[in-house]
Amino acid sequence: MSDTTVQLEVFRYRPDNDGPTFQSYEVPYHDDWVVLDALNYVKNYIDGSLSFRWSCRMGVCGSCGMQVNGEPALTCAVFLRDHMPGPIRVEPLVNFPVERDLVVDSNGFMEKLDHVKPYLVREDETDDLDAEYLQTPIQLDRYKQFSMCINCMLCYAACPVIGRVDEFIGPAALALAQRYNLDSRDQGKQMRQDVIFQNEGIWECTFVGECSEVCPKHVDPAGAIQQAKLEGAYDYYKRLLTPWARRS
Amino acid sequence: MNRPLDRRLGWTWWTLKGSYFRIFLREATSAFILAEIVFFMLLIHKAGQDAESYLAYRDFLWHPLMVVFHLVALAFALWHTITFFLIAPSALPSQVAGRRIPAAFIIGQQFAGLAAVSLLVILWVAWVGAT
Repeated sequence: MSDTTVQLEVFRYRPDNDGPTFQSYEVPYHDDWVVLDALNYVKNYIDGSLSFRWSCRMGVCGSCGMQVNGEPALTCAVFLRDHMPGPIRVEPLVNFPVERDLVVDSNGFMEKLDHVKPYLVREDETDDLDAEYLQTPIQLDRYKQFSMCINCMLCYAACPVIGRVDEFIGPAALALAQRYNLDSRDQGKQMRQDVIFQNEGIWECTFVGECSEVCPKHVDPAGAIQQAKLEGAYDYYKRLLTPWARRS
Repeated sequence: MNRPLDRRLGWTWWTLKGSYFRIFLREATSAFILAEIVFFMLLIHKAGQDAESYLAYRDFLWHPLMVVFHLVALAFALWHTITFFLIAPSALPSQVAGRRIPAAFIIGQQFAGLAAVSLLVILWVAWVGAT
């Protein structure tokens, strides 16, 4: 057991009780421990009532996103050593309703994701399980970066627009829409445009860029949104100046 | 009774950390640009009137406090320009004709363009001043 300890200040909220509070826990310090390890220590040895989400512990599942010292982060990827000597403040992701302790309600996020149809849309959909839609490495390269999203919601916690406009579709969902729009195998661009070009879509984004800063997978959702804006403006003027042209 | 707690950043988001504040300040630079445009439009308006009101307005623009304002506006305009150039690569498509465009190339092109336009303006002003 380590002799050194670190203090965790953990956000606590029980919907049936009074308002939120911070509770301090003294946990052992280890060089190779991440914040999630410390939370699990609290859960296992100090206070079993603490609620938080986690799963893979390797930055893949996107479940353990929280505010660590005010910054949205995957707690499985934030080492205690980077915040020594502490205390380390752990809170639920901001801009989301808190269900209990560190657990946020992600239903709104899931609905927004659903709106942008984040899957391949084909006009010639077939039941043939062996059907293939071929793609070159160059075509893959156009959208690959935007396909790395793990839906961890850190970008929503970093986005000040989400904090003011509930209806804003948000960075991850818009980046995902752009990801499929750039995919050479997809034919659903027109269906997504209705959602991403509405007031609560790409035009609500003011390019603060914090979403890209906090993204653990370097997806750059801010970049995806600006690219979608550029494309949208180009399509608009093209339609305006060439009304006779055939629309796909 | 289930009562999810509302924890949104809200309208004071830009006060919460340095990176937010810098972005807020970047957007606020537009106020200085707007003010300079108004001063310039008024200068043109005065030029269309009698010489006396034009010279009085020109003196007002050269007042030490106004010169400080112009310098602050210039600093903000340059800051906005530089930060805009630096983030431009992520706003542009990553490929042109199937080839990746390096971010440094896009940034460099913008600075080169700014330098070229600035040089032309300086030469034009110098030429007008000499004739």
